[in-house]
Amino acid sequence: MTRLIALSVGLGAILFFTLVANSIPQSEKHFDEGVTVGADITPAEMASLGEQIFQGQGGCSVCHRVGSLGARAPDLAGIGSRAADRIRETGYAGRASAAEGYLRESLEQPCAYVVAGYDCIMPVINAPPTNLDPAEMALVIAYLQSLGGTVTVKIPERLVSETQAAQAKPTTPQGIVDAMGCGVCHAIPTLDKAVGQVGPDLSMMEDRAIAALKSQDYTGSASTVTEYIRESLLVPNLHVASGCPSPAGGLGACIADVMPKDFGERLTALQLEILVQYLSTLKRP
Amino acid sequence: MQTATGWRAARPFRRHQLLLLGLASGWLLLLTAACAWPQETGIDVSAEYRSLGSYGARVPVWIVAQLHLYFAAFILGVPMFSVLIEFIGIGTKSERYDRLAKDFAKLLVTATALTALFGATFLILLTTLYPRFFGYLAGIFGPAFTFYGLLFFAESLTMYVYWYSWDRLKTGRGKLLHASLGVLLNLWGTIILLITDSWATFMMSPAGVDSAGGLFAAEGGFWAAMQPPLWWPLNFHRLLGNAALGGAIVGAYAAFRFLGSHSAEDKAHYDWMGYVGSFVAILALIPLPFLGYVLAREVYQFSQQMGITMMGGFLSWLWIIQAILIGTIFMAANFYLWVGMERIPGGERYRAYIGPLLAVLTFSFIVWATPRSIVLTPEEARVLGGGSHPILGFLGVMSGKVTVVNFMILATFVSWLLYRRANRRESVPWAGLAKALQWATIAGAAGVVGYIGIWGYTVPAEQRIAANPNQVLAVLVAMLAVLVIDLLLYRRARSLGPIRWGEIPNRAQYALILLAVSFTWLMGLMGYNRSAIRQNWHVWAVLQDTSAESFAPTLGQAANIISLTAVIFWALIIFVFWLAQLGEEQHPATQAAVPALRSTRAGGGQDPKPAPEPGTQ
Repeated sequence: MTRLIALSVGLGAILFFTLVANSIPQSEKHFDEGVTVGADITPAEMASLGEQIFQGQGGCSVCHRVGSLGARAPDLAGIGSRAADRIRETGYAGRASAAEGYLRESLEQPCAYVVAGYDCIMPVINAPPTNLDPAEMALVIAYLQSLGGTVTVKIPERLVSETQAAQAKPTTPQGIVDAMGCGVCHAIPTLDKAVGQVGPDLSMMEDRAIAALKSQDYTGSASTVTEYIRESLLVPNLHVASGCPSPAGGLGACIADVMPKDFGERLTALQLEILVQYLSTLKRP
Repeated sequence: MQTATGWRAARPFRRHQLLLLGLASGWLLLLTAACAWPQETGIDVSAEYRSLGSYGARVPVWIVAQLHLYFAAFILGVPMFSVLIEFIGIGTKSERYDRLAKDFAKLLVTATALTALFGATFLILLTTLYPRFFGYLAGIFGPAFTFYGLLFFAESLTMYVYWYSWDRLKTGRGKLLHASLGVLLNLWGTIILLITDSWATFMMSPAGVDSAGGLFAAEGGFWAAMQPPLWWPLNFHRLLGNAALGGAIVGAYAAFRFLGSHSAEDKAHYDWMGYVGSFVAILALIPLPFLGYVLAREVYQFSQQMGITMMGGFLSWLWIIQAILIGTIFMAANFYLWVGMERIPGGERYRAYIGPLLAVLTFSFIVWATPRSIVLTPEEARVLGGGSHPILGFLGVMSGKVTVVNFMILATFVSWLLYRRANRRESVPWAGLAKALQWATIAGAAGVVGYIGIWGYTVPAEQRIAANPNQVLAVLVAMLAVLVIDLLLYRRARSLGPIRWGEIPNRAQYALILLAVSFTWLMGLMGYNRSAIRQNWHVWAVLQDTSAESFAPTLGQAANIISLTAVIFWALIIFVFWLAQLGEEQHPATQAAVPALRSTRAGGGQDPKPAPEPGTQ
């Protein structure tokens, strides 16, 4: 009898937990539902589909709210009109020249410009795990534009983003730096719009490379300046430099896993060599 | 009656082992045949996913994997404390510790067979139902898979030698050798855990691979893949979790045997065994929330998106269920200790503390189980002024929850402290000062925890998160300090009478059952969480789950599967208990324990020397 009671206690507990779990709000979560975009889709329809992605597979609503302040990400109410103001802000270090470009940049390079009061924690939206394709990105941008603004974005005919389309395989240092977004994080005074304050200043890259090669904590396989620069581009975590701008002013330690690790795939061999050679010429006057 | 010893004692037990082995082999062959049997003509041999008839792929793999994990946790956790108890027996030269350790180890034999059975089934299902995923994993971890297979042989063989040589290596150097075998068993078990944790954490936080998923030497290659960012946090959490589950299940076994015992001697033995099992479970339970917090923080560190999805996204309500489970565990553990004090002479002195402790636990339980977000219609949200209750919503954030879990830990520690001193009266002149210092330390820790908890509401999240470890530190330091004082305070304490082992009320045994079942369900829930935060990725951001089952089920559906696995597990564990009882003969050591118990029950004669409590030697 007592063992029967014990059995009932055990089964009763399992039943209780099951009932509790079945009593709370139930929803299945589908992650990659995809959206169907017709050829004659209207802006309003685009915004509606974009909202669906925003709430669903994009995962945006986990951090962002519309109409209330999120603890981790800005309120997106009115972002459609605010986007144009952002690029005119004093601290803006991105490369967008129009509101639509700003919204796209925020999805593709979220750390290009982080609104004051927040940290750079947003993932890249067109890369895994979120992995929105250009059409889905355009729909999300349409939704964001609809929040206080006018929907102007178009579904791309080719699967190339605005930031990459005009910069396909540039072969000049300025073009390569613009295409890869180096200036978002690094200051390179000899190049336009390379004013980033996240990573080290590259204006004396040769000197930095020599110092790193002599450093006791360097564990890479480079032995020359060009080898070091090439290694830093391809395997940025191998030797994380010191001398990054610190929020409190001055220079501080650099953080690993900030610099993208896929330049080896994004740069052609020619672009890589052009960039390496260029950076190796930057030295103390 | 002459007691059989050595191999003779094992013979009836081995017959049932062979029967089990035969059944297992037959089942495996049948299962393999079922999986391999063509479901239809023109089967696609290159399919990325297959299904087990109408059951799909995910649910069968889920059930079998969880059952494998349950038994694996059990056979990895039990040796951790059975070996320790065996060493205590060697040190104290007390036969009953050795018997206790052997009782624990008795459960391992059948459990190991079931672990292997479910492990093999899991492997068969993975390779047949998820060929693309398993092929990918094999490409990354091939050498580790081979090593793991060899390790499992080593672990199983060591376990069988450990068990079957128990009576033969009972004394002198043989006993030391036997205990060393137990240490070796733990070593194999720990390495097995570390290796399997590599695979599990690789799926969550891949390392050593490039964006296409191939091993990349510049990123550390195979060895980096074996040590992903979440590896050590999961290792620590699982090591302790295994001990907690093992302790809880042996406590349930003891409760099961206690409830079926008829002799006073057996009741005494199993009452004591239940206490030891629950002691291990509670001891491991206390730091577990801290390690879980560390694991969650490392998830955020690796991927904010994963962390936010886990805590604030579609899985947020899962933590409310977790709160109910952990609250139940803490309540059951404390209830067991309070009821247990009824059989300790002098325990009635501390009855007055139970009310306040219960109040603290209940308040903490309620706060912990309060959700932040509520599902509302737009009209309801408008009336309420948002998605959260204007007052209770504040209890739904981490600042409140981290605070109350520390309160629950402190309260449980106090319950155990009172249990420990229930039949003792201190004899040192500085007792009053020492006890005042203990209470002040506990109050101080509670004050630090509470202050940081309230302060956490007023500062940004990163400051609050940075301060949370201080709450943990305050509790850990306080517990250590109070324990040290307690050990000194009661070193030469006068006994108010021996513990009346065997006279604990049955409801305490039901609490042990509840404790073990709750642990089991919690483990199933957390296993689901670990898988669900990967969303539709087999390997996060590397290998996508493109199957038709790549959605997250509702929490209710997940709970139904967890409950099904828990019921199957407990049915099998009861089978393990029953098997352990078969062929048991009267152990000579109980004869030595009987006189102490009899003289107490007779109410006359000299009080025997109080039996030392586990962990107090």
